[in-house]
Amino acid sequence: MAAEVVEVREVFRGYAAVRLAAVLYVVVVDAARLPSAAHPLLLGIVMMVVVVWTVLALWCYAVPARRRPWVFATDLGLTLVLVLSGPAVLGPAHAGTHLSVVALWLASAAMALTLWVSWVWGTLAALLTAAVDVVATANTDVTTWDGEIGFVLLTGAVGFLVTTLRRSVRERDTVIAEAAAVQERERLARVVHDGVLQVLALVERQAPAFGVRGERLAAAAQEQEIALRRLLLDSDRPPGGQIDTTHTDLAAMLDRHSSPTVTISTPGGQVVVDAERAAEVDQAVSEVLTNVRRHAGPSARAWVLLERDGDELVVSIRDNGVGGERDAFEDAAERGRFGVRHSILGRLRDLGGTAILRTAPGRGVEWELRIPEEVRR
Amino acid sequence: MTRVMLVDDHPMWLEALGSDLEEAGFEVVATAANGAEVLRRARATRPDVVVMDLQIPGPDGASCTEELLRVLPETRVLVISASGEREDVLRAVKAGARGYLVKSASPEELLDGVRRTAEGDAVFTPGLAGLVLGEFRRMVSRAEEHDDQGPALTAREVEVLRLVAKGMAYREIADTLYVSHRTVQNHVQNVLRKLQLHNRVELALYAIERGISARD
Repeated sequence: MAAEVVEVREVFRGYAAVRLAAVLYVVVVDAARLPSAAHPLLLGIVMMVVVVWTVLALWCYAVPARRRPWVFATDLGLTLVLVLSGPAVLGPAHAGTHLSVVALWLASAAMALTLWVSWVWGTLAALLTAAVDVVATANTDVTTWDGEIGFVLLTGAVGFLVTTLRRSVRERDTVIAEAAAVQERERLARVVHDGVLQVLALVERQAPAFGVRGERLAAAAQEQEIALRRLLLDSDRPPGGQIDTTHTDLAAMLDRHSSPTVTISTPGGQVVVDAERAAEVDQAVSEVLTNVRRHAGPSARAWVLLERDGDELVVSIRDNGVGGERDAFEDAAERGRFGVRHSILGRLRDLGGTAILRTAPGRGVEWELRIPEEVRR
Repeated sequence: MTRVMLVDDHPMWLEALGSDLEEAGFEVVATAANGAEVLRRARATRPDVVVMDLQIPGPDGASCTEELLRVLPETRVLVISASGEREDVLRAVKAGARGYLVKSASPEELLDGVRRTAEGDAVFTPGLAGLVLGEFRRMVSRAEEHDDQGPALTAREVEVLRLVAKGMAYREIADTLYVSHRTVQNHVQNVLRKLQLHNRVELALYAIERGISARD
């Protein structure tokens, strides 16, 4: 019932103080009424029940696990019984009074419901208690119902405020937890930077001196270094440059293609692009880089440059591989090879952009993709 | 002999780079492992070249570069950093750093970078060229918004910068554009100078604006 409610200790402390004060008031008022009561012994018992049950109820309310439905039910039931028994116990000498036999203590059961179940239940219980009080004292004069009406309104208001308080406490806790997570990540990034990354960088530098095997070691270290850096960066940034559901940072997205053989150059800061367009551009770049791996030769390197030129995005991809005759590429495109026709040219056409291909034997291949930032139809 | 100061928070790295440089005939006059040491030791030793890692315990490398070049403007700073610290690289270069290399560059590239920095050349990686291109585009579009004359690159400078960003060496660029190697170097240096000049103008304007509003 109260499982998902955030426990705020101060709420119980405040409630206990008010309820104990109400008990004190019952004892004082009823002690004064004792000599003139119709049944002093029963009134004494009422006072004792109030004291004993209050202690028991507070023991239950103190801990979330003990706030069982029966506790709330008993609290409310007992309150109603005591209120109803009031006129008989006090007798005709007190017929004119509107102060119930348990005085303001009658509010405590409804207040408990409003604090730990919900303000709706609390308000309903308050309405019920107030109605029973009015009936028991046969109070037909609407102008003297101010106490009851005030009590009902107060119960609802307190419940509403406590709900708001709990929500802000929960939000504060979330914020604190997130801040702690960010700090921990920064600490980890520092540790990794100080140790692992430095050693990897050192291996990259020194290992080539040991010949071919050393060069392989250096290449492996470089790969790991780039992967690790990307991991550390990614934990700071949304994955793949995603900014929200409809926008992506194309710079961060293209950064993911970076490797020992692929260098990515972008403007500083974010290049915010419609998410679908960014994904299409990224796919086209992927396709070009796949071609570099397959056809440019084993030692080829590639460079990707992203620019924002007015309202156009320009992506240049150059490799220093074997290159080829332009005709051969066009031929390949015609025959649907190299993924050129569909994956690159098709995508660019759909985006309303253009693709320029430059190549010559021994001079690598260069693509220049120009994509309007907005959809033009 | 060129006097070099190395700034990095990792002793193994300092030692490796230091011995490589000394073997190549440089004099390593100082090392610093954090931002606080940089300025003190640079003042005491007056190095010609400072090789600056951007990721050092505070103040960070970019701030150190700004402060160092304010106090010792003759110093030539070569920034070394990991990929993915784009904002910091840009900040250091705007403050007056002469070049930038990634940390995973080979020992030969690093030595060559230090040598060229000492000679007053601008050392550009493709990544830095991309950043600088983007920065000029940003400045120009902002100037257009305010209807004033922004710091613009010439068509040739943009062309050279784009080729650098696409991974071409200066020699290849010279061949492609039918100009001399020296001309390519000059273009790159001019670009850097414009960026740094504009940065100083912006800082001065900012200071004036602040000064005026403070008197109001």
